Amino acid sequence: MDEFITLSKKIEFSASHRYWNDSWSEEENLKHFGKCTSKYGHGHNYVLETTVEGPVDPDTGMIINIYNLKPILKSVLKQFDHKFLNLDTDFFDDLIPTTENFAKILYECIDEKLKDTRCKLLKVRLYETKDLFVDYWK
Amino acid sequence: MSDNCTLTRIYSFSAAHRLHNDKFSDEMNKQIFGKCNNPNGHGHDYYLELTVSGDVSPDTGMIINIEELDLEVHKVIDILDHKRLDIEIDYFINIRASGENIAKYLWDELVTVIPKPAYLYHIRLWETSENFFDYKG
Repeated sequence: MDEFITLSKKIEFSASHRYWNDSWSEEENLKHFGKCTSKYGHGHNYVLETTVEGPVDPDTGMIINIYNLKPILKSVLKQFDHKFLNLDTDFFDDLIPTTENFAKILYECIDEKLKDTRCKLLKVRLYETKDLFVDYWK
Repeated sequence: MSDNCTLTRIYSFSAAHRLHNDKFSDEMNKQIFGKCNNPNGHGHDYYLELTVSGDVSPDTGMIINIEELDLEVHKVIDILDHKRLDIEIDYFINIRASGENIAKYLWDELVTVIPKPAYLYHIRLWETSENFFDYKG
């Protein structure tokens, strides 16, 4: 069996969001999203856990050097950290910034940035709160 | 059906149990179950990591509505909360209330009540911060 080993890196960041579907009435929005419809948004301390796989470099003993991975992840998170996801980013103009959708966006942004490295993105786990997280992979 | 996105919610409940099998002698029970055989029982704060999967609704951006999920899950775990499992819960009177069996019990109770179209994907039951049990049905 081929060796299979992964590396995961956690990074915390903070953002606010609001759940609202323009094609629904206010009543319908409240029914589905409750207090998450609050007009000016609310925030979370998100924790992003990024898992990569790849061959272990015999020279370094690493799949990827954390010193290289961390700035890549930070560069992705920069556009979300301390932002109101609905208004301050372009990703959620037509997409509700739920944890499910946000995890998918983060996966795609990170996957794109990792293309120039030797490792492959396996999964992102996005914690919205410490008792709720979403896993996304392809 | 998309199977590349899951949502996990963590719940907790507290319960007491005693691991004991009437088929065995007292000595044998002590040997097999050790301090978990204490006649008056002992308890844990259990943590249930419940993972659901399913399509992300384009209308809500969600696999499942958390409030609806919480409502159904609490109906199941509240039955066990603050109970002595092997005395007060019929299921565990003749089935050891081990982490393995509690995980299976929870799966069987939860698998039919998860609001559709989401479905139960995996559960992990933490008995202590050092022991956990995974079950997928």
